[in-house]
Amino acid sequence: MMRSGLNLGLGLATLVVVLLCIAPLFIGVAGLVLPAWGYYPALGFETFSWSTWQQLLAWPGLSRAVWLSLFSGLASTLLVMIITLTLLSLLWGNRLWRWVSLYIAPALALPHVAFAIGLGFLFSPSGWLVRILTPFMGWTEPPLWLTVNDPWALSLILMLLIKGVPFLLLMSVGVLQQLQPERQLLMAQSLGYDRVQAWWKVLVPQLYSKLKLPLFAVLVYGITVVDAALIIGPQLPAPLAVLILRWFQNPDLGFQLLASGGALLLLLTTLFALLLWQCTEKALIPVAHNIWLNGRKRVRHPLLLLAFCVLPILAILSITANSVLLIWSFAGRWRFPDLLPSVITMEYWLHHGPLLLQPLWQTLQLAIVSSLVAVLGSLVMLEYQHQRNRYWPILLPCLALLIPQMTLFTGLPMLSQSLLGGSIFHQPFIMVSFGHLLMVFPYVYLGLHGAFQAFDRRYQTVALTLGASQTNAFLSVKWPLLNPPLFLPGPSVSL
Amino acid sequence: MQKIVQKIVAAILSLFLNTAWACDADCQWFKLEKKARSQTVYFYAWGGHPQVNDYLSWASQEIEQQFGVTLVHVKVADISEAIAIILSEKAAGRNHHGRADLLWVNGENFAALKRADLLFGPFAHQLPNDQLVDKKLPVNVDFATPVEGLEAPWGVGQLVMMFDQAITPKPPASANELLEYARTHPGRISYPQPPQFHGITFLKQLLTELVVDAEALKQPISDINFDEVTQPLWDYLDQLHKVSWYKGRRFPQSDRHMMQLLDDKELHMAISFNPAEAMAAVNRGDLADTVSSYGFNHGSLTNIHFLAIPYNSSAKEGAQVVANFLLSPKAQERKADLTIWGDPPVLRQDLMNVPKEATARFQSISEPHYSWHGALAKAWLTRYGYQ
Repeated sequence: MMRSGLNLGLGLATLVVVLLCIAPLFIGVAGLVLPAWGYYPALGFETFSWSTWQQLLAWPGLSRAVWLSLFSGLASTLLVMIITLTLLSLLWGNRLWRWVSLYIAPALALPHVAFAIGLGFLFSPSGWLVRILTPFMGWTEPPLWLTVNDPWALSLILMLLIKGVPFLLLMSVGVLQQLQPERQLLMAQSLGYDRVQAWWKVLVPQLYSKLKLPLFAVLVYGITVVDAALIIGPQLPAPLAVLILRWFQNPDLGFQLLASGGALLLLLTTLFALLLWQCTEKALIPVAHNIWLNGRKRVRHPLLLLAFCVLPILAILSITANSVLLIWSFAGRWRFPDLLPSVITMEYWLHHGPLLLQPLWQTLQLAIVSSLVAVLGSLVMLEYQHQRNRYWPILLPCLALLIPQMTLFTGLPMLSQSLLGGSIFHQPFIMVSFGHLLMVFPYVYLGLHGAFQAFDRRYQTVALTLGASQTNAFLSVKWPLLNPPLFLPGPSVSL
Repeated sequence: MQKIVQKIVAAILSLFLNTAWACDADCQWFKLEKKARSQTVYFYAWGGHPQVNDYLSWASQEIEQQFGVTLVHVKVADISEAIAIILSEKAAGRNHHGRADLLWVNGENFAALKRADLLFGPFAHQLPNDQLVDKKLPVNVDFATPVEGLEAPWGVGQLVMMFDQAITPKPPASANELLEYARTHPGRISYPQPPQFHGITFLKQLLTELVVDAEALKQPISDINFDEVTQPLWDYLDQLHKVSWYKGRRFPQSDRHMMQLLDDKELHMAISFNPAEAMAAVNRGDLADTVSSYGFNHGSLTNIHFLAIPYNSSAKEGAQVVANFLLSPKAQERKADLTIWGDPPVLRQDLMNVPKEATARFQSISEPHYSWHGALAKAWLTRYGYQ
């Protein structure tokens, strides 16, 4: 009786979580479909037509914009995956691993926009790197090199790597702790493989299948990233997501329709990329079989070493980019070719510091509230699925990752007003936390999902047979085993 | 019986009407100020400039003290964000208690608001300080759209080019001289990437000089042969891009970006829509003291920026009090101060103590019809939007 009561409660709680964290997404997308076909009564567009699509497809450089989005997303994801897997194979359980795990948290927590700006200062033709070279090269004016905003999106991909690798590392840590790598490695090593080979042959396939969703999150982020792409990405044309933002901001109201169509196209592009990844994976299985099962031992691929060197480079870039940003905040004037600012000033900090306190406090509150709710919601939902021993397709809770953020946040206020009335706008904190929640939820859910699935339910069963209640079994047995650092992405995404 | 009732009603009505008539403009304004007290005005204004933000936080202190109105500067990257908000409110039927109470707008944003009936007013001519406005400035037309009192003037913009005397002793004074300069200094001339505001404005500036018939620019583009009229501009840009910054594969993203690039010597020219900007930046120490503003001999594109009130504002009285304060000689003088903001005033010269460098001193060319903005942006993107 007690158990079914709890199950009912859990079921209801799950329903609330679904309504809160997932349902608004569908409405957000639905809100796009009508305008994309020309229907947006508020703006005076009241007839359905295909003209938005014609206009969209005729947009100068559209195909290249789509291609750029695909390319930067796919290339960055592939690289992130290779680098992460290599690093793990070489460093897991090693003395150096401690340094890697120290790197993960701050690298994830740094906001990527600030980072993109810093990277720009570092790489631009009048940036720090060039300034270091200038005395040796005898330049009087900055060289005409196309570095940041390059049309091939390379600087954007670099930025995506610096953010993506720590994220995937974090996700892998969660999965690995459930895989018990040491035992498996020992087994493989006893067959004569060295440790790195054993890692690749035995652990990588398991890891890969469990990392699929986080990888997809990296892929989708790479395709839909807006703010960082705006700063460091290609400009002529810009990636599709940036184009959509510009359309949304266009004062000509007709562009709202175009933006809706564009947002749907972005959705399609994203789905296409996911499908492409999936098909490529299927196509490569026979090849992979050959390589994985060829029985060769003690092979060292030079690529391995290359990928290994990448992390220190990424870390150094990340640190220098942030140092440049920090120095700029004290710079009154910092002209080319000065290595350090010619005028140092506290003005910006003294002046804007006090003004920043309130937003900072608000941000912190937002991050804490939305992360807490997301963690709670994820736990409820996962525990519900776990107890019923049937997991939903993971795509469902992670749908928010597939929808461009801008789209969601134009639809959201409209929706909440029609549901709750105008008074909701007097509670901006609730509105914004809700928006954050939608975005944070999938990351937290992702972080927990692997751990939940890999969790050996016998522990819980034992606890139950020993007479513990479901709640108790969860709190004192399962919770400690689930590894709380997995909640880290919450606040960092939210900030 | 019925007649008596009618008479009484008429008597009561006339009583009300009489008191309304008895209240003259001053008394009306006094009433409005009283009503505005303790209102909170959410002022949606571009927040990309620390000087502007500081000026507005000064203004909000003054307004709080003098009128008991709380002014909150909502910083937006582009005022179209605010328009999107008002639109979504209208779509949701939120016709009162809108989030925005005052907007910093002009040009096509104003035209869009006016077209969609999203503005309160006319109110501008009821502001007491409206009488002090310099009527020689084109304050009644906003990009060829009649203002009709739906927005109050706040400041003047004029397109100028900044050059560094130490690098460019003789700045180019016409479109053709600029092209010649770019040829002798390859990679050092550029302009903000359209559809960015300053980029388009620069295109218009070039167009006013290169166009065969200047009258065409005053008309909506639907009334003229756009391709034919603009052909000289595209021919010019084709030439310019061959020798411009990264040969036109990359463009500065804004006027501020250009100033930084000018300071870093990546570019030899920056573009500003404020004739006082160069002097102000030099005074702040942001630019070398050899930098100053120049206009082409042909004249400088000029427009007014305005303050407007959304139709669904919940603090319309407060918003008018704020607009009137921002139009006062004290506020306009401070705004023109190079060390504070340096935005040229819209009031008559004799009312304020403002140096010449801080005023819109170049010969003015009026803005083309607002439809040119979008059309030029689109045509530019079609031609140069991808390589």
